[in-house]
Amino acid sequence: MASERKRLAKRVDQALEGKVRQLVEAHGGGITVDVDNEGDAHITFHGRCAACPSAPVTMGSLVRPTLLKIEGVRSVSRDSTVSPYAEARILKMFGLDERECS
Amino acid sequence: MKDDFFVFDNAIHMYKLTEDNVDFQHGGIERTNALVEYAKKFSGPGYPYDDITGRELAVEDAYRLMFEESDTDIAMAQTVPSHGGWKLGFSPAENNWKLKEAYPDRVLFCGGVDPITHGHYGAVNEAIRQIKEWGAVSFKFYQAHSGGVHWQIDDRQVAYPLWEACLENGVNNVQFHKGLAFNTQHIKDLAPYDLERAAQDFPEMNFIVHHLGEPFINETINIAARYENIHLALTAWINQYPVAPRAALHAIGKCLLHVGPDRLLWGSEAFVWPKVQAYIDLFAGMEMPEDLQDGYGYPPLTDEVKRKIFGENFARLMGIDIEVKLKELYGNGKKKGKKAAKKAARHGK
Repeated sequence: MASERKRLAKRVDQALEGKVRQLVEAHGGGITVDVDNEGDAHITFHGRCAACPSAPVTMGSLVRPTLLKIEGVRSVSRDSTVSPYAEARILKMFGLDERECS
Repeated sequence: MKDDFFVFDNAIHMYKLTEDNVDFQHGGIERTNALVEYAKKFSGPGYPYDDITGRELAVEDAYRLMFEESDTDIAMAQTVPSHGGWKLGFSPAENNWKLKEAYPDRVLFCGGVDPITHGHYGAVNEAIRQIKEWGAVSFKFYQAHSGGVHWQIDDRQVAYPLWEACLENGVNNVQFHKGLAFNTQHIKDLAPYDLERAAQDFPEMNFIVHHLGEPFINETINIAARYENIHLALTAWINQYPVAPRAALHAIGKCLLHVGPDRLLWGSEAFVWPKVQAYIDLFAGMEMPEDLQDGYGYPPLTDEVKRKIFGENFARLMGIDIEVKLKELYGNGKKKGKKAAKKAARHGK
């Protein structure tokens, strides 16, 4: 179970390499991810992205779609620094299911 | 403790406005009046100001107001090295040091020097003395003096030797009064633009900005959002809430949205507003209205956010382990322990 989780975590982290990390780092930030046994991925933005008002857009348009394509990932979330209203609008914009992003 | 929030007050000032400290030739009376008028403006029923003209606060009174009449656990006594009008400043270093000496388990000492008053080398030497002899763990700076005399945080000749001396002597946080010009100070001298280069050049130093730089609120928040070593003390904003609640909520909401909850600090500005508990109760019960969450994207003011602002953030900055400190202050029973501590203090133990 632990090794399966490790493999999933590695796949998820690798998925962020390239376009996602390049974009985030270009803004003076960083991104890390933790995945639990159930496949729930938790994103943490660092640096200038940590409390960026546009972080939900980055999540909705790039991070979530990228990670949800990976087999074994059930949901993608982060501790938000914007209001639940803004989060809901963004989810709707990108046609994402709230349950996937809880 | 307020409920289960550890309360670490970032900014209390041991004022000294007695005649021997007032510079009558350089606007001392006018500056005192301006300060009291500001406190009066942002006061109201339940949130009174104190006309501190001509008075000097005793350490026993400060202890009573902070630790017996409020849920504050620990506090930083901040020197106010704003000298124009006051010979030793509004809140002299010695008065704040004395409070720390009287109650070292409750009070940290924030020193204060000024390159214009002390001179370039004098400020560095006095800062080192306050660290070594008086145990300063932080410094407060007021860059603007009357009539447009000022200095800049990113001045390599005047300011950088101070930051270097602080770091070399174990002080890794410095604090700045920004905005809120008094008397004939020029507001442009209190703008936050000089923070950026210093924050870049001294990544190991933490720069704490007070008052959100009002009226440069958006600029201050924008700059803080982009540097992890810039922190915002909500001083004066919590005091403005009773008069202008929506304005205060906008300011706090913008801070949370752009800077996040990890770099915001609680500060009461005691003792010009002496009812510290009223502000603690106010913030503990504060909520971000739904229309501001919806229309401006401000996040809700959750208990987790309040816990960070009330004390966790500043404790982390100052290297204080909250659990250890609570045990030191109250033993194992926090509230029961606090009552016992109060009783002990009353009996001079």
